[in-house]
Amino acid sequence: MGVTPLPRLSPAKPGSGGRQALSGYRLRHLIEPYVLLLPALSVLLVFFFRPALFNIVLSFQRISLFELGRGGKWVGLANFVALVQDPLTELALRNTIFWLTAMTVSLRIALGLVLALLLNTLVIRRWHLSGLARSLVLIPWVTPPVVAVAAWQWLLQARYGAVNQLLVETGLLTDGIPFLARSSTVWWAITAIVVWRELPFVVIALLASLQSIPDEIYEAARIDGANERRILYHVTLPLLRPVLAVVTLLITIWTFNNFLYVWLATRGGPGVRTQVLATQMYLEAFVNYRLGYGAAVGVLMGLIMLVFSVVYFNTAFKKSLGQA
Amino acid sequence: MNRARVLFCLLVPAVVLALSLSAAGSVLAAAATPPQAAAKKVELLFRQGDPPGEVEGLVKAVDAWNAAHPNIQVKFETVPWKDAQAQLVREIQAGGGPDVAQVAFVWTADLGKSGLLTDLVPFIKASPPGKGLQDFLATELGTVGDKIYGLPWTVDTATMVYRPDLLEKAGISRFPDTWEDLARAAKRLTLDTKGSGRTDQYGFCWPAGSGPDGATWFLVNAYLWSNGKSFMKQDAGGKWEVGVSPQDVAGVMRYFKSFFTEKVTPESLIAVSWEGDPEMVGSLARGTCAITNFRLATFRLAAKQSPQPIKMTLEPKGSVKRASHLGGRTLAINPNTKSPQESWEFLKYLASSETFKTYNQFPAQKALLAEVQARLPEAEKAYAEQLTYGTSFRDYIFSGANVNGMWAATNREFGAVFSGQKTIEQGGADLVKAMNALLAEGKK
Amino acid sequence: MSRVRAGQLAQDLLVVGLTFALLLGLAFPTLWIFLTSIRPEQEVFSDTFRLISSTLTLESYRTLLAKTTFPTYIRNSLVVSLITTVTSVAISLLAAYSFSRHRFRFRGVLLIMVVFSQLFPYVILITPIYVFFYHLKLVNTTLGLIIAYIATTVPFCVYMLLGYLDSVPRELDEAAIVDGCSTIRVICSVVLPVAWPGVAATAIYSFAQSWNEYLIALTLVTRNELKTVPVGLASFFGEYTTRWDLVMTASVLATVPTLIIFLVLQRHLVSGLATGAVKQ
Repeated sequence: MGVTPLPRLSPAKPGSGGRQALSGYRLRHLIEPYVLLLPALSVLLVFFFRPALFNIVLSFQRISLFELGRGGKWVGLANFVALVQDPLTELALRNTIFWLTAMTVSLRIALGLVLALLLNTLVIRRWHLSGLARSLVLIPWVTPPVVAVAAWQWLLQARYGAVNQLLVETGLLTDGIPFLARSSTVWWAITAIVVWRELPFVVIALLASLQSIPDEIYEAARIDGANERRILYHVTLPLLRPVLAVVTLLITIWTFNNFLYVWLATRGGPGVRTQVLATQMYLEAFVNYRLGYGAAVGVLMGLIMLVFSVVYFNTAFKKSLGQA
Repeated sequence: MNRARVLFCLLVPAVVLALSLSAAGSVLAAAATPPQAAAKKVELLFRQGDPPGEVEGLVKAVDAWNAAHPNIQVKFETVPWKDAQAQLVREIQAGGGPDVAQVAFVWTADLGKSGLLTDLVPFIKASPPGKGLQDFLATELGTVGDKIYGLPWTVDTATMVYRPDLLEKAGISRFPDTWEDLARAAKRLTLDTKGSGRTDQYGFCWPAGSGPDGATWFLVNAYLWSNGKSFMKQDAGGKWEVGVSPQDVAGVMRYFKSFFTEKVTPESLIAVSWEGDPEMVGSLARGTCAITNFRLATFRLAAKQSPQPIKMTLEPKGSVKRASHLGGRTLAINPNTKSPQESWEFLKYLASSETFKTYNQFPAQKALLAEVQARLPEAEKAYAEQLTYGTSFRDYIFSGANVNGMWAATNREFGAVFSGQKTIEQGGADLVKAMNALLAEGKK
Repeated sequence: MSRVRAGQLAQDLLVVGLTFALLLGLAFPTLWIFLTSIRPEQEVFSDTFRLISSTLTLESYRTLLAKTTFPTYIRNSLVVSLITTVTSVAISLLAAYSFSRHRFRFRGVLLIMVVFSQLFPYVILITPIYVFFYHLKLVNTTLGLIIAYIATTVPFCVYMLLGYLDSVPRELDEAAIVDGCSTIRVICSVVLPVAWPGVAATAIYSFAQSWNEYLIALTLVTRNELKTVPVGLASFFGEYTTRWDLVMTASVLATVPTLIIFLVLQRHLVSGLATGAVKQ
């Protein structure tokens, strides 16, 4: 059963009728985009606008966690100057950008793509394994973060952890490595945890897009004589670009701001090896009570992500979504 | 598929409609709440921070109160301890919050100074708690000037815990008395018991993580205080200053780092920040560790898990004295409360002997302590004795420095030294610098 | 002829084998959590790594169901997450349609504004959010939590749906518009069926997000009977002790309804186009 070929139409003409109908259509056409946006935008504005503004205002004050009622002292850019001069900031920035974000995002996109492509193959569908496969993919996501990290901490434990026991028994190691305790291995451990738990999102998102590609396109390409690899590069991946672009943007922003995984796994340690911007912000605001300084870290994070989003938006995003 | 689509298109407007109606409804209901009539039921909210497994006795006590006081009903609320302070501060500043709250010793003064807790002095004068204020321990911690912001409720400390059978096997007849003895004994207790070529029994274990809530802080302070030093001290003129030099701190770092360099403590503990971690709690049971450092609650859990008996014993003596930290919780009243009198009545009840009959914590009152101590099993007797050596963080609190910040800085610098990120000298210098910064900030 | 078939079979086996090897690797940690939950309390973290303990017990399940209010937490999480998902996806769909199909003056700016809210980490926003909700009397209410979650999931849902909608050819819309359909009808009858897998994926994301969210739930809800699963789980962690057996058991119990919902939702990841079901 084939699908009837999609008709190629000339651009829609305004509804027929008199001048009244014409201007009615134009008006509707003008305000409609905004009306459709209204529910989403109003929720966001009401909920986020004031807190975000509040945070920016806080960052210009010297204020303690307990002084919100009284108000703090206005210090202008002092917090930001201190932030830039603090050696810990540079360390946290490097950790956040390279280890926490770049590393895990690229691993997730690569592995996610592979897995999504595998799950989309005909053989899986033919053997009726799709449901099972897709459900297995979702399992890491279903585990609450605090339990997931605890499970991994135990799995990576130097003596009793499954990973080390396997490595020792197969002779690859003489003694277990305390992955989370050693500076040289701790980031790999955290990377494993983050990638493991957040991979399902990428897989499902890409799979959904893959599923929207009708089989006929593949058949047509095969009839034209293309082999599997050419199909992948010239048919599948280009059609995946919009969703791939969106997913990359989303997980980058989200991972950059992430606090929970590093905090639960190592609290930013050992020493300050795994300190990231989000944990630095938490420590300054809630442990050192320097709310203004913590807010400044938050503003720094927001600025970096804003710049990234705008740049990304004007390059990869626009290209992939083909808009002006 | 069609059906799913239709369902979706119908369901969505229905849900949105329901939501908006319910939103409107709740706003209207809130506006229309009638003012409470006089001589009515008062509902108090009591908040504490420990998990259900530890507070069964407390719940019983609160239930007993509710049964005996039909006009003052208390609702029991739990916010996990690690988030408790931030949440309390948020709520009180917004105008809400519980009526009576359990607050840590070290936050009470800070919260009180910022106007986030009610001054209890008028209540204490009018209707004294327990056997009177002088019977309570460590009241100065909740005191700022002539105001008292929190009534000490429970006290706790940590002690050394060990497996008597493992010490016996290694030929150690008495538990080490000084810190040096401890290091030596721990070395003798680090063995390869199965002959597999790998150490499977470590001499001394403690959660050496770098997190702001880690346990290194308590051991470091015990070491410092027992040797007559402290992070903060007052000079002759009464001014507060940092009481340790970089060399002093380096000395402490050298001591504790030696446990790792001599492989007397497993390296993996550098990643463990708290006692509740399974690696710590079960270590005595499994025989992985011969000696650890625990609170009472952790000890009880570990004892349950261990087929071999374990015992509490005193912390090592330094050159000057024996010391350990005296931690604890106070009870405070929210200035936003609508029923301050009733809140005080309930607070007094919580601090009474009736509550402590079922609540298995140590009361911060001399008169009641004896009662509770009498009920302790043999293995826990040392805990009661250790409490007498307990030193509170009063110096740190009075110096004006942020104690939580000191705690975080200590664990962080020690953690950096343990993991080799910094040399001992560098770590010592950096920690003293951080202490000075905290002290300076506190003075502003 | 049979050699080709054998070759095909070998290739099929390779693909299936590789896929399921990866998938089982993904599932292993959670599987371990499940196996841990059926061990007696002392054996939860045992000396040697045994996959299956010699003594299996449902003791922790009994404790959890009888002595704690954990089932209530699951119920609360379900209600909140389901309502959030439906509402969030719906309003995001409208917004995404607008961004995708219309060219209007402030499109770029508004698109950035949508994601702007996600640029700040929540940890620092939480206090003003609490104060705001407190004044609206939405603290300690299920409604408050739902509104908060809608606000936190909409940005990502809008972007996700934008990506999926952009993959739906415009010609379909135009055909329907020429036929005189209103915008809503166009969305519901024409675009939605084709983009259904994307909608399903977005719904899955939104549900997972609401289900696992901790910080906002902790801040806005302190009454025990209204707590959600992540907050309820956190209450098992004490300052000095943790009932790990209960924690593992609780997370298994929390997993079950989510898995069921995911199982239902993932079935819709199949597109109408792929099965050739698109009609006029």
